Amino acid sequence: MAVSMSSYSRNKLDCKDLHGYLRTLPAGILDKLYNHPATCLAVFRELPQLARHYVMRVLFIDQPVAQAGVSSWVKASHQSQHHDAVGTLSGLRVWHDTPLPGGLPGWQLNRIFRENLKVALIGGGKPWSSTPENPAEGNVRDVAFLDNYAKERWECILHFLVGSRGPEALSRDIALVLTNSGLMKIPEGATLPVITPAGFQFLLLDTSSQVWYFMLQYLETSEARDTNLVNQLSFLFQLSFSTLGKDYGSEGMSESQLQFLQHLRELGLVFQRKRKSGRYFPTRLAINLASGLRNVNFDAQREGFIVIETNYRVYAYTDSDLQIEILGLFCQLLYRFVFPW
Amino acid sequence: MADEEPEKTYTWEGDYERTWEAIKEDEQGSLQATVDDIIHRAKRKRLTDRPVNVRLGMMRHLFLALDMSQAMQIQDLKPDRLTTTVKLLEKFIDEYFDQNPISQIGVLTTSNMRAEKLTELGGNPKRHITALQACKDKPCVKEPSLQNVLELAMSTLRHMPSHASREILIVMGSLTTCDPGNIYNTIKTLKEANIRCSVIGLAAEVRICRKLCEDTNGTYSVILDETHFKELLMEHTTPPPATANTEPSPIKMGFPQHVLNTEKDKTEQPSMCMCHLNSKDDKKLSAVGYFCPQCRSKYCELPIECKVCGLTLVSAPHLARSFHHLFPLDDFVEVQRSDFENEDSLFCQACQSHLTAENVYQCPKCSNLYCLDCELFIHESLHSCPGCASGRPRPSQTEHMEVD
Amino acid sequence: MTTEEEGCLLVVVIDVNPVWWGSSPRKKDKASLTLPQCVDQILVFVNAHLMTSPQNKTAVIGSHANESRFLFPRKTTSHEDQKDVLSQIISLDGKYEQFTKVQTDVMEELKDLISSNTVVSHTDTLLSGSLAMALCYIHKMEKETGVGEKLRSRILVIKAAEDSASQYMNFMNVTFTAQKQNVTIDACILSKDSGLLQQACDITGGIYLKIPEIEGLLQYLLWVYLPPLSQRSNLILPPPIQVDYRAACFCHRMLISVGYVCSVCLSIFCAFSPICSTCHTAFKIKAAPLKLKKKKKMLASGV
Repeated sequence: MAVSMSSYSRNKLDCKDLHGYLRTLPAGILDKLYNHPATCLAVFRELPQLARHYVMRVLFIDQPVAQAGVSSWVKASHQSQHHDAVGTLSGLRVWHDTPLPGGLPGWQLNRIFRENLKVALIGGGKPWSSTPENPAEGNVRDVAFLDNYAKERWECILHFLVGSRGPEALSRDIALVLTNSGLMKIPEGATLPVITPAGFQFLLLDTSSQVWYFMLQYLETSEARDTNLVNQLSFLFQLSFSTLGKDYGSEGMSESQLQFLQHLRELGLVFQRKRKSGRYFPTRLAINLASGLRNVNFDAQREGFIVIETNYRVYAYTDSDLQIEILGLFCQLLYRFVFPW
Repeated sequence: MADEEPEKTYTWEGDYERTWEAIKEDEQGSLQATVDDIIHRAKRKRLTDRPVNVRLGMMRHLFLALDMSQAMQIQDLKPDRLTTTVKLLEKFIDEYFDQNPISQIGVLTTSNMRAEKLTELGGNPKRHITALQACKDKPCVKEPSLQNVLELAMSTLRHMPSHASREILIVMGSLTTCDPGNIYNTIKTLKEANIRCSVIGLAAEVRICRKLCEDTNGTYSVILDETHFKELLMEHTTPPPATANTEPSPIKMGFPQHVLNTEKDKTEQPSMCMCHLNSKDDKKLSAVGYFCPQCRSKYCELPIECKVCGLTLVSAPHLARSFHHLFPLDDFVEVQRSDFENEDSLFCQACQSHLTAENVYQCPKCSNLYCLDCELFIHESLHSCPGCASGRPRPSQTEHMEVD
Repeated sequence: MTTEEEGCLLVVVIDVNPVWWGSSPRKKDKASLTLPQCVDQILVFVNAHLMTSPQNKTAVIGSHANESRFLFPRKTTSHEDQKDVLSQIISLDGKYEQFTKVQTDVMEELKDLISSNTVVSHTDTLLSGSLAMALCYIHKMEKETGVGEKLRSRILVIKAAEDSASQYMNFMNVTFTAQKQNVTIDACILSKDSGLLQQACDITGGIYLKIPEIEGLLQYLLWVYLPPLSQRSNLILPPPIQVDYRAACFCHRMLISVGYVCSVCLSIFCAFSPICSTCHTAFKIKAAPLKLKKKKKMLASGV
């Protein structure tokens, strides 16, 4: 699989962060998104520090605040940070330019954003999801099981990327996302997709970045299919603020949301015993999603290491098939031994 | 390590010490239990050393004497003995002023058969540290002179008020000394003047240093390696027991107010401070500072001795820093967790962690239990038992009936 | 995705002295807050702190006149209990689950604290004990942070009742330890100024603020105490106040600017006296000629 160096540098994987993605959405969608407390919480956490502080200061103030007043909160030497913060807040439509009664320019927090952030902080709204009626007896899954499940499912995707599993391993929808996002392409005259240089770079990212990038691509693909973007994004954020090891009920979710839940189950972000069972368990992959934690634990669970010599010989100590496959993409596998750890 | 009295034998004269027997394996061949035990004992070692109920010398005048002879160029401590010594002395000075805020230090050096005063006795750590760093570049020549450095120190210490302790700490890297006269006379004069000399040797034990330390009631030790050097130095930061001849007397001190220019109704006029009067930096007039209550001259930081009227200026927290030496915390008693009824649900009173180790520590006054980490933290840094500080003395039985 | 920010551990020490909170002048004043209302506002502030960054942590300690107790986090023993605990966190009103847990735990422990201490024999709050416990907790948490994570810590004290001079020594010990451990102590005063806390805030570099109107407690907390330490240099916050560092003499407890200090036990006196009253050392009175004095026998008994 010859890949030229120039194509690497040209197609650097463009992994947008949350704000970058939100800025690409039209204004109407953004306002609908802010209707869920989890989204507001996720957006809040991604703001720059000074901007977060501004939001907290005006959260409980209903009237618009004078712009000159806000700039007086910061010392004169740090005005550049002030401008950055103000720019971010306006760009995300978190607050609007609203003139004060006297005519001076002012800012006011987006009403929907404010209400939902307040609900997340002090309550007074609807519960995010229904709680399952009967406590889960005998179906309780502990954290180790969930981690294992998530790892297995996610590796399935990666195996498919690498080409070591056939097309039956994944559902059509997920395979479509992979090809649409440019991670794989179908060469002329073949039916099975193969990996692209962008796919290589994707493979070498750490797990939380991979999940995030994939979810972004999934949302873009589903937008093209015209399913409800807002619902799905809100559900994703809600998942990312769940507690590991706890189960949540899936009653009251619409058909498209249930379909989305099935896709997430396939990807390893949630665990559900049967399609019809009314409860699901979020896994560690989902919880890391929007909270931005580079959770060291997940990747650190894998044992193994790699030694590369200056004569380009590579020695790898691992027992994960996936890693061996990835190595096989750009190394020639000469020998393979069994280690009795 | 050399012994205390000459009657005891030196290490090589005793029996073999079978150090390998200290390490024992358990059934699976693992050394973990022994290692844990050794660490545990090392952590608790300091408890056995401190004598209690002894009057301590809180105000100290200490002269540091640094050997700068040719022997300090030897590289058995990396990169050479002099650099290591200067580095550790800087840490020593910081720790010393932290533990004894109202004390003073002066630095002397000896090289080329002479002795020089590097810095005068003073309470500002920065001045001494800067001077020490500068002397790293000075050449180390020939032989040191023990008698000269002792005489130089004595000439200043003799005039110090008698309520403060007078000490000299010598770091000696050389095995020889070149003196102008009879050093035994100097030692006798030191003893009469009540000056306590301690020596830390970097090479081997020297008879004259031992005699000096024994006669003046100081301590003599020879280092094994850099870690040991640091330990020995840090032992000198704690106040030594006061000699019988230290005369206690009331010292007149001033507690100046710190003036900030934040009071809107008072217009403080800018003035120059006395500590930077001779400095060549831009002489700034400032409105903040400490004003001596006796003569109203201004200073930037405390503690300091007023140049105009001679009054020692301190602030109340400086004195408070030394209180933990005077009112030391009682040691905690080591108890077994299995002695308690609810041994599986015991929690450390201070950090709320679940107690899982076999040994837990109990305060004799308030009977609360603590884990090992908290016990070390409390005795080394905090000096107050959280249980005693957050509880009342138990009421008698009759009063206790009220609570359901 | 996010930049590497350091997490902040915020320990809030709340003064729940029942004598002060239940005193009658306060009850008559309609405009002042009751203890549950005040704790509600403090909890919103604590949750706002947790909301700001996923790496932020918190602990809440209640400081009573009889004891001081951790209100959050509650003691948990093994992992089996954790599962029960997890399944009990149910948020019924749209609040983020973590915040619900903080709220319910604190309220329950507080109720237990107040109801189990019905007899109060002293009127001052055991603040120094709570601060000591907070420091030990911070020490433990800093040891437990993983590789690559940084944790700054700070303590916020919300003080209601007055100072007590008997806690001076414990207080100073705690302050010096906090300074060495790089922990900032902030103080939010509800009624009378406290000299001890002023010194603590000055020595550790924290903010000291006496709140003019207690109903605006939450707003003051959000505006002044929420920004993390790294942001404090950028914002305009209440300026440092003038701290009175004069010492109090041991005989009259008056503040003096010039005094006599016993060289043995460091007690401070306002006037010269021949015997130190704390350690009973007889002082040598300096006679005018500087002859060598005969050493008299000391009456000292050691400290």
